[in-house]
Amino acid sequence: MMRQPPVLAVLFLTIARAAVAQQQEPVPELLPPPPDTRPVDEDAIHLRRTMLNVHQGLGLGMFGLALANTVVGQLNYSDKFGSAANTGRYQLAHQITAYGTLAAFTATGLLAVFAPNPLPKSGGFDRTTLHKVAMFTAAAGMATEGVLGFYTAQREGYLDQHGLATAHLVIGYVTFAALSLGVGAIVF
Amino acid sequence: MSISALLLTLAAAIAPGTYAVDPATSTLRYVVVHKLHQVDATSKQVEGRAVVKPDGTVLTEVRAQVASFRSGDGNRDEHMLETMNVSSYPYVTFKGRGSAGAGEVQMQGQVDFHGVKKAYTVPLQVEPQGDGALHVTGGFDISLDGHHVERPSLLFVKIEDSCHIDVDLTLQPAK
Repeated sequence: MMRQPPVLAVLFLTIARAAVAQQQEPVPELLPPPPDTRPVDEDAIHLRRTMLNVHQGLGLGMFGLALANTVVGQLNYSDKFGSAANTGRYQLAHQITAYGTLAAFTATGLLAVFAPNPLPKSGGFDRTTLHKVAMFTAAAGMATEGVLGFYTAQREGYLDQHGLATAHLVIGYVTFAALSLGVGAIVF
Repeated sequence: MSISALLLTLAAAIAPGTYAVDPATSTLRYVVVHKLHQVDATSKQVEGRAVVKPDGTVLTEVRAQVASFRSGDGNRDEHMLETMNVSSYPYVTFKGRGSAGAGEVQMQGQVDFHGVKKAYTVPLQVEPQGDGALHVTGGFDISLDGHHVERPSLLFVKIEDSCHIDVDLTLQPAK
């Protein structure tokens, strides 16, 4: 005589099979196919990413150079106008860091300006806008510093040189503050 | 009240039928973490439908355009779009199934993101509203590496692999 399977076991197996079958059944499409999105130039995106990565690295190097330039500039000012010695020992260092900062800043800025823009921009004021405003301020400061620096150096022996150098120093600090704001807006 | 009676009562709170995501009151949000800060971006352009069958099974599909997420930093959003290959994979989609009921619901399904489909269990909190709508909230983590996303970096440090997704949807009975 064959043994009948227990009713509960059969019920359990049936439910389990149904559950497994249900799990394996794929969920049908519930939404209509998505509309075509605007095609994007992948090569331009890759180029932009590469340029902005270099921009980031070069920008951080430039920031370090600008810090060094500000310190050496203060030392040069103090040596020339804050003491009787006027040894001129920071002059060359200040020239080197100033030219270096200007060159690095220009290269960093050009990388950002000429990077392709294949994606639509979201409007509104955000950290990137703050970064741009700060860097445009810093660019204006650097241009002023370059002109004022040359002019101040040419006024050796004139009474207005101390005043011009003080203005150069103050604008230098403002420029560095703008650079710090621009870097901070992206990093933090 | 027995457990089965309680389950029946909960299931009964959600009427069978088709529900559609109300984009005006629905959001998807992702949170990624970098050593220096946490970034969250929200999409308010969410599409979705849920079908509640008479046996209590729920089938659902929710999607959003990757380009619709906004973090408050245009450069960062753009960076994310670039790393997510938005032109090739413009949408992030979840398709899954679960059991209808108010309270905590586990949805088993797949996230299709960056061209890679991966299975996830999404715990959701379902609150039936007075007008027949459903307010659905929940969150789960996905692995960016698991979806073959080249994680973006800041100062040459990559963001963490885990990306938290927050769901806040209002589902209206479809007309």
